[in-house]
Amino acid sequence: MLQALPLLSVAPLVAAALIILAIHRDRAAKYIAMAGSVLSLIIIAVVVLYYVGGTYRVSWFSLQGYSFNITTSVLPLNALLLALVGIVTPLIFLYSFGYMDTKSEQSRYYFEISLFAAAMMLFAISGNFVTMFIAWEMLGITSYLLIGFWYAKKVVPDAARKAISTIIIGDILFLAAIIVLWSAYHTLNISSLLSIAGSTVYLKVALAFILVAAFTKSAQFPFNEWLSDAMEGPTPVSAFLHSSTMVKAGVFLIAILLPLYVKAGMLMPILAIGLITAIIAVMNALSEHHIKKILAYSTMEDLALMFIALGFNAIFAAMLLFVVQTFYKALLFMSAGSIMKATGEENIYKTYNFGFKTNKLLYISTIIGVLSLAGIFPLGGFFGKLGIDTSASSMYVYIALVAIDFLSSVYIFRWLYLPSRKDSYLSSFGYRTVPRSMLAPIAILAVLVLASGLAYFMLPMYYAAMPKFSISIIDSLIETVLVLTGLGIAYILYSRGRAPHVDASSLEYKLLHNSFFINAFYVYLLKGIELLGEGFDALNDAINSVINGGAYSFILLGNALKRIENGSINTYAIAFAAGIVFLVIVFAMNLIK
Amino acid sequence: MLAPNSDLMLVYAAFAVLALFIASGLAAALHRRKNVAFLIGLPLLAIDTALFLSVFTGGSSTTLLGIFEMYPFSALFAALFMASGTLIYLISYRYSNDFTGFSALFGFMLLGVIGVAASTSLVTTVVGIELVALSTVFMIILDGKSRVEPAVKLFILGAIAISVLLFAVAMMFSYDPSLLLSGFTASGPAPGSYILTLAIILFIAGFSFEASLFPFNLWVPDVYQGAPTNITAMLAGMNKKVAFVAIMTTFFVLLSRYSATFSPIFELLAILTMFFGNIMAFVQKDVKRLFAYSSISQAGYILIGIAVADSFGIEASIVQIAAHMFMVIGAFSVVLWLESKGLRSIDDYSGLGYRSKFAGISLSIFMLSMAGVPPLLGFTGKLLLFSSAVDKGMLILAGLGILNSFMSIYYYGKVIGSMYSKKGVSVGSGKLFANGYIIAAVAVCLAVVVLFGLYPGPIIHAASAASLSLFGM
Repeated sequence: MLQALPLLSVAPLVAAALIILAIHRDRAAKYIAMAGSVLSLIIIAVVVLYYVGGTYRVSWFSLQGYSFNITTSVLPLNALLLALVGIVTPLIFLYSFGYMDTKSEQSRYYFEISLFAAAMMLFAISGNFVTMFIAWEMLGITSYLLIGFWYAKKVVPDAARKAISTIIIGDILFLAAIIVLWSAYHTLNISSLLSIAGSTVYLKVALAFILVAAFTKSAQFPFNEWLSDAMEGPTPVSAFLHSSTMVKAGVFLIAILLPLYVKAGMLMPILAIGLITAIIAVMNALSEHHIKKILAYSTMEDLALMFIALGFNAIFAAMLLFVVQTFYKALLFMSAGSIMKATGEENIYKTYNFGFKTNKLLYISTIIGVLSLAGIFPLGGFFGKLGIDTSASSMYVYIALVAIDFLSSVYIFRWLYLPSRKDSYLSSFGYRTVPRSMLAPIAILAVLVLASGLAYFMLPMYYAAMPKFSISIIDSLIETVLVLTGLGIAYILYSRGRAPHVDASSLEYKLLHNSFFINAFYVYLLKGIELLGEGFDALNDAINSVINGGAYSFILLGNALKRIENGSINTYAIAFAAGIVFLVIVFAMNLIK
Repeated sequence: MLAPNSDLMLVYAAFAVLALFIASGLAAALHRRKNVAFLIGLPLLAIDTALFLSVFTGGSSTTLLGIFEMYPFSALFAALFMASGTLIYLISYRYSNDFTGFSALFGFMLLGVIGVAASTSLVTTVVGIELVALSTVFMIILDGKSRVEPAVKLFILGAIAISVLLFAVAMMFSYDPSLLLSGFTASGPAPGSYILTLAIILFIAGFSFEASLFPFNLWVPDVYQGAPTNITAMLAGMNKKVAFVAIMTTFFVLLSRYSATFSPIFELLAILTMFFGNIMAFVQKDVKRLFAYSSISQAGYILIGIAVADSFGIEASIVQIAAHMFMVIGAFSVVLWLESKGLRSIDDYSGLGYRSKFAGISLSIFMLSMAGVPPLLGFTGKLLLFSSAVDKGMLILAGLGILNSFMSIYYYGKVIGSMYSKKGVSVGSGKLFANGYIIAAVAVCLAVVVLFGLYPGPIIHAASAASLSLFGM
């Protein structure tokens, strides 16, 4: 089989290059990006169907007997992520057609998002840590660019900077882990690392570093603060970031290395951090007013649930939620973007009149997404959440998880009911003007969400190695009852005109919304670092002047040397003769020695 | 794989095409038919590139007339020189004041180049070098009266260099009257003999003049600046590289036994040349002169591989020679076109990136590659050079080389910064559009620099085959 084909799935990279280098016309950019994503979807389909289970090498160059290869691996997990990215990318691009209707900046947008998609695809198929790190870095940088896309708005650059500075912690630790692994095992191939025997202190250190890196990317405690701020980016970007790319990279990284974590006995921290994050996320989601930020906290919660399942070594449950979450979260973000576009309002308490009559397709699709997120049978979310619950082998964790399920049902129905309130003074015309290119991907995703329950039956066929969990009637009953209770509570509280409001100054808000004051902690930390930075700044100035002095002395030297370049042929001939004399002297000294 | 017989046919065909090119150039010069010369000459050169390349891939070794030997080393260089010759011919058509005369001389120049690459004896090497030098002098003069000064400088100093070289050859004659490159190792004296050491000194001096190594290179910037830019591209892209080929064949075939004697000298010259080129480039205002000094420093880098004096070092040098050949011809092509629009100094270049995307992007890529930024071909060359030095334990040489590439970023960055500064946009504003000849030549150079930078496998493989065949002579 063609060894290079898995690598070719990064076709959006070519699109990005074309957009930035060759074709500067804003109008053409979106079609090029779309073509790139469709091409990569086709390649990914072939790869997923025919290439699964192997490692593929493209030889790069060989030097003095060492040969350097680009290794791609299409293990079942890789294929899974690759397929998800491949399916979601064209949908996001199509949604962007309608959402990004600005006259200018189109080529910049499609360049950045194509590069981002390519980075995620490269990440999905990386067979060794070097390519994986390159993709990881590309993800970090492009996400920074995309979050800061509307850089002229006041808070946007800060949000982007917050994201990149959190992510960079992970980048550095990931690199450190790579160095540790290389010096301990002399290989960076993931498949050969997975087969190493025994657990050494090097392995533990590297795994701890990688774990922190994954937590930064996946916005887990205490690196969770950037995710909600990242909502300042364009909505298609949020939909992309939160469904199949970026935040999933951290979960995926831990998932493929899970056997090593089991071997090193390091499952406990994954579980603990997951639980803390899930609780923080649910509390924030309950008190948040921003339509997209509620969904962002919900993503944080979903990711935390996946980490919890991984912490119980229940990879099947984690991957099942991984798959179904992709579709419903992309769908919900697109709905949120459409509502924002229709009403021009981001505060969920100020949006009204979203309903069946105002836009049938949008409303039904949104409900499907909400039901799936809440976990209603037979949608994908039901199996996903149930899988997580079932995987909990400790009673206390089980109770916590069930409580989280209940609360997430409350906040997501709150998210649905608040904009659905009627206000006859406000026009609902906006909902009818949502462009088709935005509705089409929403409808497609709604179908995918409806079908995503099948993943529960299909994944085990595909991944024979994964132990499947069995649904017990009692668990599903508990789950369903709690979700329906949540629905009821949300309906009573939020479906009327005067919905209860958690005031920003109230104590509840402070307790619920501050993620245990982690943000304030960062602020004080930063103040301290700033002081340290000022000290370094003074030192830096000193070093700088030394370097400047060095550079200046080269210029002085150059000016002095210029004198011998006086254009006179005599000087040149004398220099020639002097050169020979010089060589004679050097040789003579060598001979005498 | 071709049969041995057809390899021989390929070699004959390659030389026949070269002869045809010389004949067509002469005929065109006599009849003053510029267009005919170009339309016949360009395809011939391109075909010859392909022929030499297939001789190289054939991998066999063939002796021709007793004075030429085509083995992988010489075939690779013949192909490289033919390729760069094609590019120079392409850009010269539009900008040479006397293209027919240039065509006629260019044929002899190429014969000299191939002669040096395929040389089996010292006589062929020296005659080849002289053929190259003299054709270049006349090419410069043909361009017009204002070009007399650089031409005379090149001629007089070249005469000194060639006489030094001949003196060295005369000393070798006393040991081995056949003057063949191979076979001397057996009949030569033990290392340390005074006469032989003097011969080595004179060889180094003579070749250093041609290869522009410090302190035999003071003429270089004057001639580069004074000569028409297409000739400057040729000087930097071919003449210098020919001298390196001569150094390789002379020192690693003829004098290979004495590598312990000459290797430290080359190390010293490499360091001096790198520093000289880079420091002088710091203070240049004229773009052409800046590139002159930059190519001097590149000559210093190339010399690192020769100082390392093993097959890995030569492999690295070959990669760097190929890399710099395409970078410098590409860069000078752009400079040539901009010069015709009246842009000469770094100040003139300010805002250029906005006036012509083509010039901005291509010059930036060439300069980044020269500075050794990955993933461009210049990086591959430098990586190989420095790692060959480290492999051999020459850590100081490698360290100073790295320091120098770091320094060079300053002046390349200055030009790039100037091209993308908004200050000068209003000065000479108006978009600039390149013509097809320049675009074609630059596109080829860019493709080589970028594609082989990303995927250096083939070029490293070729260089390694060539280097091994040189040591197998």
